[in-house]
Amino acid sequence: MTSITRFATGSQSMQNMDSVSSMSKRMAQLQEQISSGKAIQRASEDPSGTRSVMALRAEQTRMSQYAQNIDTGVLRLNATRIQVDSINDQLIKSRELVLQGQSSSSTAGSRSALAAQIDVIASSLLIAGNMGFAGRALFNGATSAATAYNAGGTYIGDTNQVTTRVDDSGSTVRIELNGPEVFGVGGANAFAVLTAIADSLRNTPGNLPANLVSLDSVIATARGAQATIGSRINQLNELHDVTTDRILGVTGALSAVEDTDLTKSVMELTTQQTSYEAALYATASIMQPSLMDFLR
Amino acid sequence: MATFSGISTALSSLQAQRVAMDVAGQNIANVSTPGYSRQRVDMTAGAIGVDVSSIQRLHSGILGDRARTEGARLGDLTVTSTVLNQIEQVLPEPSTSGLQAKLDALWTGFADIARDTSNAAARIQVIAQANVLTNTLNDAAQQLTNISASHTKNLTNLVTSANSYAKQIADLNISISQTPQGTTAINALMDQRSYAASQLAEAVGGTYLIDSSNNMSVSLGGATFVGPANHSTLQVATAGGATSVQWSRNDSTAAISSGNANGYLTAIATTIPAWTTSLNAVASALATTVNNAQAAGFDSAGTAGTDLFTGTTAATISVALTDGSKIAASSVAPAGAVASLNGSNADAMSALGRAANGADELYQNLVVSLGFAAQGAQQTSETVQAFMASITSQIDSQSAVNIDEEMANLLTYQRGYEAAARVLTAIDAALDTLINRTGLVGR
Repeated sequence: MTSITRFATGSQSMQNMDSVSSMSKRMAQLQEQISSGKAIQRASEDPSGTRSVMALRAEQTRMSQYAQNIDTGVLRLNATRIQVDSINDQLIKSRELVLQGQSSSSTAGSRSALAAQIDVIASSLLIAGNMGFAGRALFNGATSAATAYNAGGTYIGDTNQVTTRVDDSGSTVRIELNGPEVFGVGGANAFAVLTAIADSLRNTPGNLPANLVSLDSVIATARGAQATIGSRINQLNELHDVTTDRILGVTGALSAVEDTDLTKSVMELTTQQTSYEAALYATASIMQPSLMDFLR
Repeated sequence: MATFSGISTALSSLQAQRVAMDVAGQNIANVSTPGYSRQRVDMTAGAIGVDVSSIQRLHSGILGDRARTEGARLGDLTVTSTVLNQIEQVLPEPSTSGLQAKLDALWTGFADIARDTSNAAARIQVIAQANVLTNTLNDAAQQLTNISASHTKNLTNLVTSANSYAKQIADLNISISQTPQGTTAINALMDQRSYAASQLAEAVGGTYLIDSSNNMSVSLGGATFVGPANHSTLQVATAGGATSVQWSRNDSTAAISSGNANGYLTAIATTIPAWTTSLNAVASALATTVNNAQAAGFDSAGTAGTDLFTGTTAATISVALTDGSKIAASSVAPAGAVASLNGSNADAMSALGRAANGADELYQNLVVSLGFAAQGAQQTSETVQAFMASITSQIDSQSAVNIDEEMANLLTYQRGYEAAARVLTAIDAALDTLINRTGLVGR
């Protein structure tokens, strides 16, 4: 490259203009970063950073979905737990009634009264069994039918599971229990057992011990359901903490990539401003004098 | 030596200094004229006094050639960089309102349905989100088409001005051949011609040659564009969707490999179609993955799911369903007539955003490669710009006007003029003495 020994007036001012305008361009960029709070305005400024921002934003959205899934799951399981607790209480009460009917002091009249109480318990269990949550029956599996048990106490739901996703790997937690899991299966379910007990109390007290065995198995099923729900609620609560931590982590990572480092940007802007002013001053003092100023 | 030759000597100097001052004035007057080359008076000592042998134009043909070559390259790169920036603006990322945010919203919508399949509002929301998404894709495709159309128009305008520069060069060739050498007039014409050539190079590139009789010829890929006294014309032809620049004389394609024109041609034929294809792949992946997932499930009524999207390009993709209950949220077939409220299929759809080669991955790849392409084009064009600036300053250091220098020259010529006038006065006084004061003895 030939060295430049002769400097043209026009190119001198052009070069000054070039450096001054490139400085003001950089200043505008810094100002935009500071005012928008975002370090990356367009993908070409930082293509790999852009990918991170896009992926992290999507992850953030997914994580909040999982958190919401977990919250909804906990709500539904809590509603289930309240019903199962009350079902359990009522089954224990009916066990006491059976024991009363079995006692030597019981008479046909007192057993008939006990049978009437058993009937009341049975119908209240049916109400509990058909209890709804957010417009859907709690215990009917995944069907869209409005109830889980018909008036005769037969299960009309299905055994498909209602699950909710809790992480990216596709892990799910079951957030419902179907009727048979709470009330027992088929002919041995709570409603059939209670009907048999009422019948035995009224007609064949001798069957009561056998009824008691069936009832104990129903109670064991309901207790098992209680335990399952409790452990699932615990599991979801723990997952809630994990997911919340994850959301915080993702938000932090996102901020590190896409947010303007204010201290750094403001300092850089100040530096840039100083050199801009210096360049303007230099331009003004260089461009002013020519030989003409001194020829008088 | 003749008696009056001193007067002629002084006169020749007066004339030469006058010419020199005129030239300095011309230089100062053109301090800001683009393409102006400063001129210098060459004086030689004559038999009597001084001769102005020529008025030289200080111009380097080699530097001019390099400036034209780099100018053509820069013209190409500038357009390429602008086009990529425009495409980048069509897909503004990272942003909370770009396509990625809209994809996220759709997947969120499916997750909302999965959480409660009986929630009609969540289903309506998904249909709305799907519409927003397809509108965004349609709009992006339309904008890409618009960009392509605007560059076709730019190319047409560019070819028109290239033709007019070619005509100027041919006309100037004629004028230059008819103007005497070493004069201000021919220098001005040559400046005009080299300025027109630099503009033409920036527009369409080409090879520039000046022959021994000072005629400039221009050729594009070996085909003559401008001859000594004539020029061809170019035209833009659009046939079967392909745009090309042709010679008007025989409708054959002109070989354009640099300049703005090459930038526009590349944008129209390669760059914009390539990014449109990438965007189509995103639309196609979206339609395919969601439709396949729909087909695997059952809607609120227990019917097997049907396509949510129709169309497989960014321009044509649209939402086929209007009824939210048609979203196939359940993965379980209905039992008898009773539909299942199972949400596993909606859950599977909410996870489509992370599918390998799914719409999200393809779109992110697109944005990142577009970002790299735009960044690369920007940097290359800045590099060439810097190189161009260094050539320009070399040219300027040789050809452009420095006012200080001109003032100093002006001063020299003015003083020379004054001195020559003094010589004239001295000779006049001497002759006066000789003519009027001698031979008067005895009067």
